[in-house]
Amino acid sequence: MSSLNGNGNGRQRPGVRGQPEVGQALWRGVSQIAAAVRPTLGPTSRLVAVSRPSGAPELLDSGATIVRRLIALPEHDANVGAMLARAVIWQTHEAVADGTATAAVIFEQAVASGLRALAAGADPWTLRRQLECVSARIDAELAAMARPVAGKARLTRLALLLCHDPELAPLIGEILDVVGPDGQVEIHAAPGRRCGRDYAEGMHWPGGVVSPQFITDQASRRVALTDCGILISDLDLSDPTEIRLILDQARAAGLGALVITAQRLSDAAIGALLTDPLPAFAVTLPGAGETARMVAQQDLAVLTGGQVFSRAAGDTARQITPSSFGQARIAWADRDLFGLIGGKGDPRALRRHIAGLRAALADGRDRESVARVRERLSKLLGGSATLHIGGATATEIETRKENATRAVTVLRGILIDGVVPGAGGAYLACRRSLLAATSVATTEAERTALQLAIAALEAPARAIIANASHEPAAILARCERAGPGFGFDTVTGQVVDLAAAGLHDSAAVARAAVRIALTAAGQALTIDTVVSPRSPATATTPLA
Amino acid sequence: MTAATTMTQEPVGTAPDVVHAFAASPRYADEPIYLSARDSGLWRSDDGGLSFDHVYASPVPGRPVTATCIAFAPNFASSGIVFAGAAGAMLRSHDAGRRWRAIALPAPPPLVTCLTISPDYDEDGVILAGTLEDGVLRSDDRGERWRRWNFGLLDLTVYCLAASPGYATNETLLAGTETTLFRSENGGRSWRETAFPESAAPVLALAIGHDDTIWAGTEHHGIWQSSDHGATWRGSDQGFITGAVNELVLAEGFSLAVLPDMILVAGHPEWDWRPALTGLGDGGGCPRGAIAGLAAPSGIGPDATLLVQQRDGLVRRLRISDQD
Repeated sequence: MSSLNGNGNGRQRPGVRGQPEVGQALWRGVSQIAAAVRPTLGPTSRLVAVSRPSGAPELLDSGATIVRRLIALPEHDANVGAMLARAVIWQTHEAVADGTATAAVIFEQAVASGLRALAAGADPWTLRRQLECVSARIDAELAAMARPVAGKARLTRLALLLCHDPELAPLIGEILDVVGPDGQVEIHAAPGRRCGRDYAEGMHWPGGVVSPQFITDQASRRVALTDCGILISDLDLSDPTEIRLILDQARAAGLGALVITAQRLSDAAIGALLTDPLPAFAVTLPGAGETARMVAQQDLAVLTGGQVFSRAAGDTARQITPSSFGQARIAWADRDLFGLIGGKGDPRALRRHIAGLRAALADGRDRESVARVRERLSKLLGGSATLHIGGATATEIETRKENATRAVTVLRGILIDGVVPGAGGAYLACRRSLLAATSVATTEAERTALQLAIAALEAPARAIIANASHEPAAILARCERAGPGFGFDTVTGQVVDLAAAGLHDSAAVARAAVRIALTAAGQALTIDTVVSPRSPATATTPLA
Repeated sequence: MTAATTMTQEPVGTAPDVVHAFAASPRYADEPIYLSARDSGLWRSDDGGLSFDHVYASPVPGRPVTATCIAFAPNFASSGIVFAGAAGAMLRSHDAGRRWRAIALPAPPPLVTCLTISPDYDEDGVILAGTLEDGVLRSDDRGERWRRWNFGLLDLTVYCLAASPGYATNETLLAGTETTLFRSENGGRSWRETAFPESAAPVLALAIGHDDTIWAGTEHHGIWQSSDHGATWRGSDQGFITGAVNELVLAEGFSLAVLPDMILVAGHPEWDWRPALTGLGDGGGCPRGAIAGLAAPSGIGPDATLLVQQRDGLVRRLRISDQD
């Protein structure tokens, strides 16, 4: 097998290549990538060694990490297929943080079956459209198969399957049980070898006190006020009279303390605030960037029941009235952060706001915007959890952090979408209905797509069984005879009722893996021609 | 108990200041202890409510601490442990309410509105307290240390709490708030809102049956029932339930609902509420005459004796009789 590391020694042959050369090269590339990650499938999986320029090889068990080490195949013609497979793996990782090897083997089998169908005369575009229909059908079946998961014990068992870390798994299970699928979880390295967790109340944003003189507790280096009013603004408060006006309005509102959020306060304005008898402090606007600040203000307003005063809307300090202020049970700040506990806004309005964010999360297609909405949502739910990860070495800590991050991501998906039978059993269960559909298919293309998907759905179970050093064909036949819901437990070596044996996979991961793989396979099968441009001349010295 | 069940009442004793809660020990050596939470602190009676001793006022002379709610530990008969909520503190007694110790709560000092103790308290030591503006406080060391657990609790004004009878296995709790009902399935560490109709809130009283049926008493909209863990709700449609339902008590075969001036009874399985006793206030709707609490030291059933205490301190003994 060619080395998968580095650019290789082959030179690119410029030109245009068509079928059957393209299909054969595509297959070589796809199969090499699938072969690189297939060993990582299943509980009795194996490691993949990636050589390094010097020193010991890197031993990896994550499909996404393995393909990140791959720059290109030495054989450039096969590289097109390799990069397609790499993209499938990476897309799956980005979408659900797991299932990368599953997606790779489904993609590989779908491409193999598809190329044979094309060689037999199938039309690639028709086949692609039919594959998309079959993919949607499989997705619906997996969704219907999913069962909800709740409770610390179940989450801990699933966490253990994901991270293989007996110390981390109960911590992760507990955290997810407490904060739920939308809650904020931060993962940090801890000094020492032990792991731990803690929970923080309320919500916080980046952006601390505008002046260290507001810090009243030197031991903790923070200031905190209770039962205070909050002025939510992006105003530029440079005139001390504006501060005095705001303070007067706060007193008229019966407030015993005040927090001002603003774009900027002048030294004179800070002085006016510090010298007034009403306890108060000022913070810079939460959020980095204008959009982030705007949404932070919106969230603060709902949380505390206050009004937003915005320069863009032409608002000024003179418009502030006693009813303008939000309120909170506790407000605190240090040099970097500003936080609230117990916002006193209308709970009904808060629930509607959160429902709106959840709807935005469900609709979100852009990963970055989904992450931003999730962060807002997690702040509004009333707290956060921090997982502290220790280890003997920095490398161990980093590895444990990666595993924990992946486990948390997958468990969130499980809390939202539930679980399906594991060990490839969910895919095998889908095969049954596809087989029935094959006999009533109305077109040859439909029948071909169904058969292609049936073969592809078997691939994960085959790989898992083979990785456990068993003969896949014989085991799969036993699973088929046992009936729906049965699969192979590689640890015990028995065909078992998967649900009863506690063998589950995330429904979100199972659905994403097959959807991405079959969609990419449909696209790959429509590639008819590959154009390799001439490589530009290179030199290490400037041209004369 | 049948649809013909009635109650009779007679005044027993009085008290000088406003009563917020009234409770009786569960079968304490067959001589029940009654505790009364008042503006002036905690009061204790061991003579059936005829007289009360002032057992807790305040650690600071001249600054009484208002006591707001009372909860007897499930193992009270052997341990003598009682908890009482107060403005800014938790009170605990180990000697059946004779002496009390104040335990600090997380700052700022919350006003405790309600208490619920885990049915499995012997094993887990879990107690929860609802507060007026700080959500839910939780202790898992028998009340020694407390912290707020408000993940997902989007309304921090908690009026009532209830633990599932099967708490030892399902860790299920409910919190009634100003705007809706929340449910926890991890012993109060996090909460999720139920589908309780917002228009029927605030929720002032809760009870959970052994079949997991949930009963919620509201301020203006009667009594609501859910048989599917809060996913759907059915409201009582009797027009006479016009006052605040402050307490719900479930018993074998029937249940009681305590309103400011009447007690309702509903037989199982019809759950058709009807007045068992009316006019218990001063008849003019005066708030000081409203019922503050109902005590049933030997349970609720035919020929049982109950005590109710009004907010003005008047104690009345009730007798339940079946008129078939």
